[in-house]
Amino acid sequence: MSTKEKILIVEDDLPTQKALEFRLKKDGYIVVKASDGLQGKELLIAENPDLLITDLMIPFVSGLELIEFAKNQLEKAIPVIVLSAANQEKIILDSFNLGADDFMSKPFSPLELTVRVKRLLSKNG
Amino acid sequence: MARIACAVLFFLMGVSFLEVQAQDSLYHVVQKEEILSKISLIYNKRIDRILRDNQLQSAQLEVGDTLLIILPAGSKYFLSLKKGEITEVKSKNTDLEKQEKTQEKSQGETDSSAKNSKNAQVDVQKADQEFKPSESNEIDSSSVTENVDQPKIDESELEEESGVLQDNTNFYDEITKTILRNNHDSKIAHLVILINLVLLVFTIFMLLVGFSSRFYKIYRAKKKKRYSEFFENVLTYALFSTEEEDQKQYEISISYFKNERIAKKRIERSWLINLFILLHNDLVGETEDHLQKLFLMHRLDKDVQRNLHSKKWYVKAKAIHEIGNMQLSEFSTEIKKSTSSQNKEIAFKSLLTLVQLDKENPLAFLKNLENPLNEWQQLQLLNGLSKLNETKITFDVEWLQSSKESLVVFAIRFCVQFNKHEFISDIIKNIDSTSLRIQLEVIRAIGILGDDSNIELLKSKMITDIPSKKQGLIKAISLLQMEPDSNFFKNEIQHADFDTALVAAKSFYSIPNGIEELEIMKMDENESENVRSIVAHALDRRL
Repeated sequence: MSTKEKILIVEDDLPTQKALEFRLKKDGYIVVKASDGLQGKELLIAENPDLLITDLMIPFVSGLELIEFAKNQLEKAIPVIVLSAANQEKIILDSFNLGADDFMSKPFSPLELTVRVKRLLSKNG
Repeated sequence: MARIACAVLFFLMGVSFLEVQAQDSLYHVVQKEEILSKISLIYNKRIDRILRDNQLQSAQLEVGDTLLIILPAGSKYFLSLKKGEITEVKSKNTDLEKQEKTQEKSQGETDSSAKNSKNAQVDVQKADQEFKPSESNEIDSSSVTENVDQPKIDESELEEESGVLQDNTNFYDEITKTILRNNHDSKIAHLVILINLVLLVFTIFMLLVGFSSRFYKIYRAKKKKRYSEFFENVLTYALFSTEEEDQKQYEISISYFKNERIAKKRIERSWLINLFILLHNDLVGETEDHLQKLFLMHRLDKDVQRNLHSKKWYVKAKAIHEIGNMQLSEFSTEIKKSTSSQNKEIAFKSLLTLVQLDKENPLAFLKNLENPLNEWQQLQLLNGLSKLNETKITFDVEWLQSSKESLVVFAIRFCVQFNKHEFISDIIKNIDSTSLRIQLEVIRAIGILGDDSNIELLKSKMITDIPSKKQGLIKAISLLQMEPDSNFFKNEIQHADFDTALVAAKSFYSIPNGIEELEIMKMDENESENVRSIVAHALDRRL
């Protein structure tokens, strides 16, 4: 029996977080969520997720720091999708330089996101 | 505010408390057939208090016993007195004294009269010292009289007694004056008490208002949180459930919106609208369309329309924002009218909303632009445009040739944001504009949209004394150079202006092995102290 993949959502905008959670749960994933970077960091260690979806502008620990942490300081490097309203070229480049696997700018299509999630998980699985 | 009111109130209460607590005392000499209850009635004082004040074990009194009566200052006792009454009391007492003295004389009770007389004088003096205003409903002449006419006088000492009587008369005069003075004092005391009462009521009212407002805010915040969670759940379900997957659940969630069951009260509906706006900002595609359908299904557009006609400008501005966000194009005509509003916020918000609503030619208004667009307005416009399909946005090259500075700047920024490379030659035409603002925008645009063929042009403009222009040119050149010329930047590091030199040093980051070159320069003792310091700054990643 295959185990369900766990996805960590770090998003401070609660309605968007809830919408994402609902959409991903419908697709059969286990969803863990955090509203700030600090909580996200803790959950990265405690929950050992298979994929991280993070906003860049989040309280306490920025999304860029979280990407760096997820890529370099965890036992296994997990795929990261960045979801941000900040769609400046420099920020996108910084995210990719730190190891982000994908970038989606807000407003985003939840359907498109689920496709990207599926693709990344199958690539890493 | 409430704390200050409390402090003032307690201070005044303390003052008045001291005032009210001031006590006066007098002596009452028990007369024939006088019992404690009668005395208590005279002074309006409880029997147990009289017993306690005099340290008496029983209520048994004997004629001639002296009782200490402690009364509160400024009491009604004195307020009820009038000068005439006192005079009358005084004269009556004088007659009584004379009669008693005659009787006593005939009875031959002279043994202890001298002593009593002296005692009376002591009593009078004592009472004179201690007797101060107190209150009671009535004054009994005898009670005051008794205080002084107790002594029984020997016949042989009548002359002395008449002197004592004279003293007594003086004593009453003193009392009368004291009463009148205290009558005035007690009026002030009453006024203070009245002010304190008013302040007390006011403070209690303010505290009640403060507390109730606080509790109401807490209650409302909790209610909002509870409702928001409910709205999020219902909305999420309605957004992402599909008829094919679970028809029953889908119908239930949709029925909430069809029957306007989610939010009925106006405040609840406004919370729901906020949630819609929040989600609409983040979501696109099918979900966005679905979101809009649900919005209309719940007839939330009615609320928006009502707010659009509000007299409060901020309510109106919010409604305009909501119309733009939810793409409610049926309000376009009303929004167009609002663009000429005297309120600048409303006018610009309307303009911005028109940009969002007009999908064919959102920037049509620029043709008839009357007021210059400030930085904030340009930023908002560009942000609003970023959410539209850029292929449908018509760009008019005439904007770049306009005599209006803000329009040219906006047009250049628009080209940069939407990568309009095809307009670079039109942009370059403005490089020698009389406006420095336009010049800087052109240089920035060349750096982003241009190519290395523009480098010579940029270098030719380097002969300038304006630091901001020079910095812009260096940045643009560093972005365009295919084969970077490190000597060009090295020369610029020598620039007297610190910021310009720092920009030149930082340009090494775009050169292959540029960082190594900077490290060498930092260690090179042949370089000036100034250059080494600037290079050290450029190498500091924290900056």
